[in-house]
Amino acid sequence: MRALIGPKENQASQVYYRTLWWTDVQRPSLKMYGRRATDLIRGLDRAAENSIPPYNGETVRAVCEEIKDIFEANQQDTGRLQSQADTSSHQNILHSIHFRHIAMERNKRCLVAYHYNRAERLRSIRWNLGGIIPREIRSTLSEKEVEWFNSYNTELTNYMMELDGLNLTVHQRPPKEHFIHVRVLLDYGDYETEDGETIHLKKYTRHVLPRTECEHLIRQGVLEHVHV
Amino acid sequence: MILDNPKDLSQNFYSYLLNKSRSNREHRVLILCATDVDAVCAVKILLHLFNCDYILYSLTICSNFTDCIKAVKPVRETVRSIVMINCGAAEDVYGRLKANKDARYFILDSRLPVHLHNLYSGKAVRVLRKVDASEIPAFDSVFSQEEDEPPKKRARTDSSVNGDDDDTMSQSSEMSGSSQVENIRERREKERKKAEWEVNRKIIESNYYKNVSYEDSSAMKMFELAHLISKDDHNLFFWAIIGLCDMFVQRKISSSEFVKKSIALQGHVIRLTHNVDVENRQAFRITYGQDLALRFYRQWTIFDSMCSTPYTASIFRTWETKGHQKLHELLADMGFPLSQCKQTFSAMDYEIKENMVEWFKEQAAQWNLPDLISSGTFLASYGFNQKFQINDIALGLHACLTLSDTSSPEENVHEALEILSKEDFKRIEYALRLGRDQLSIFRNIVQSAFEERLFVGMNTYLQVCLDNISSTGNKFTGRPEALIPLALFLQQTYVVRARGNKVSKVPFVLVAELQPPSDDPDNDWVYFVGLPGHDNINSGVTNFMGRAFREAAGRVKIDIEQWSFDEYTIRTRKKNKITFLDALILIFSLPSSGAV
Repeated sequence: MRALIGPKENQASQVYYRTLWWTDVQRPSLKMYGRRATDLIRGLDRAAENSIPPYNGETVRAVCEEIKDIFEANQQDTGRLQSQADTSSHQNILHSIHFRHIAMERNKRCLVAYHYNRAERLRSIRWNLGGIIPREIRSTLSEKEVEWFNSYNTELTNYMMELDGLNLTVHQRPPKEHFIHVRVLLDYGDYETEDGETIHLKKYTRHVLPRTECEHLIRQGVLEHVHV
Repeated sequence: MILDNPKDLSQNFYSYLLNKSRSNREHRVLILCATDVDAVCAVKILLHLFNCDYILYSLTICSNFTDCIKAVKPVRETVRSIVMINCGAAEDVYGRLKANKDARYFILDSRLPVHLHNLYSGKAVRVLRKVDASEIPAFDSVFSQEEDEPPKKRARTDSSVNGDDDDTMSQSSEMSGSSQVENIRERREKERKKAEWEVNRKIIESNYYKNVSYEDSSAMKMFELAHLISKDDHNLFFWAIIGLCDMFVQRKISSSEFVKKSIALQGHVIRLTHNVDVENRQAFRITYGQDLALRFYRQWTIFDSMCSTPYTASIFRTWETKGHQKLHELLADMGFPLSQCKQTFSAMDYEIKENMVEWFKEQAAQWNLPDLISSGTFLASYGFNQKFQINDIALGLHACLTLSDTSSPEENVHEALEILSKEDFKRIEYALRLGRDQLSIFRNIVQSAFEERLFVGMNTYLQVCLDNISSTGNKFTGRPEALIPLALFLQQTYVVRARGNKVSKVPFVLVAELQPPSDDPDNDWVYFVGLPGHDNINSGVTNFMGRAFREAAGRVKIDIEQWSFDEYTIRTRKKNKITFLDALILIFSLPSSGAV
């Protein structure tokens, strides 16, 4: 779980966890700050790697509410600080403001981590499965995520078009050669490549073709890979 | 358009293709490659360059010009650049291949003369070679000016207009009458001039196309290009030298020309081999130096090699017992133990191997065998393996290209391209074995030709008729391509002894039937190979046999067909053989034919 949120977990926040625990015991009605946010992360962490669990909109909303509450409470306290002339109680108020602020930051961080990690998984789906999201995955996404996916898709396509229609999603690592030299073993006739070029594959001719296009023809025994 | 200097070659040929393929990723160069060793080497270098720069290409192998037309036909609309290697110079490529109008043709051919249409078709056809400007007829003398036509037409319409006006305007009719006469006179004059020009043109053209000759190996040309764009290495150099040596062993260039060209290459030899690590087992070296002019002796025994090299075979007549004895005598004179000279070269004593060239040199002077030692030969060696004469490699590759146990000549070319893979000497050894086997088959054919007295010495030409040679030579003589080296071998063995005689100056014709007699009309061919006089080849003279064949066929009106890119290689139907041979005799006996 820590991997998802990141390493920032300083000593101060540890102290305040403890304080939190204490407040919780004192006033059982009050929910522990940050628990829901942590649940969010935990839920994502529990799901299998690279799978996307259903979007937990309820919790996200609850966390947002919590942030809002904390913010309001902090604002009230700040107002109190300004109005009170007695500086002796200032120290306590300052402590609780600081504590709430950290809790709020924490919640925010969890929210960002949750969404960021989901987006990462979504991105890997684009690279592995292509531009169309399978129905079962689509049902687990939020509306904004679908929107993001679509815009990412467009950006990627535009970028690949700039590279003369080079399909970047085919290789996980850049291949050593994008084109390979092949020799035609039988009369195949015209073959249309993905970029619309027609190549006449006649027996005993030799061509340079994109690696991706030839693989299935090599398997069919139409072509043979040769070295220059 | 002629691109003769190397700078032109890189700018208007390579950079042009490079820019085209950079600006349009679908730009694909169509390479048409002939089935000879020089073309294979040139293609090998060109493909290396294309591979470096990611230029897309399609390579098609063509045995004759009909194949070229067939190769271009399916891509006629889409093709933009066509590179023709050792093919097409003698044909009007623009008119006959008929690719779309934007297509550019690059012709890299060692043959001369280049078709005049190729030279004068502007930027569309680019001939990548040196062409002596003084030998090219001027444009005006071979192409009629189009401007001639319109004024004539205008004159005619003028007169007809005037003719219509005749009835109404009598005064103008007088004027027009006189002008009509003038017009007619003018026209007559023009027609006369035109007819004169036409006759003149025919003479100029027939003089221009009379002789076929060769110059500049295509592989060498490609290497020059690679050197200019700094992409050359020793492998490219090796291929280029194979191309050059092929020209020499096929006697397409004279030995003096070969020596001149090899000396010009010394700079490259030093540059590309000076930093080779001598201790390295994998080091590949090319050296140039004196060596025996015996074929395949490094892979064979000295004795067998001497029996099969055309030069020594002819001098000693090694197909006779007497010849064998004489050969033994020479070897004994030299102090060469019989056990050693019948031993595979690699297993011979080191001392003998070291001193052999010296011994042979001494004996060559004594026995008057000037051509036994070649003054300069390229040798290739790979690590500590034995050396190879590059001449032998060229012969071996040629043997590989003429094999008939494969399904087609194209397959042979692919095989040859594989053999030339980088630093793979196992494959080269295989090619050398092929060459050696081919040579011994040829020796047997020559022997039987002598025994059966097949050499017919006419006064004006020498002829050998071989029937059904495919049965004698298994896979080595099944294809017409094998006839050219065979013809060279036959001519050389017959003529070398008669050096200086008339017989060494007359042309040679090989007539061969490849298949046993059958009813199959597809196999019903007789193949002809015409070579110029042997002494003429050595002084770098040209082959006029193509023209002689054409003229003979024209006289008796039979169809002949050119089966390779060389016009002196033709075939005709079996039923026409006798008529054609008679016509050939007639042609050569005519004093005006210019054949002798």
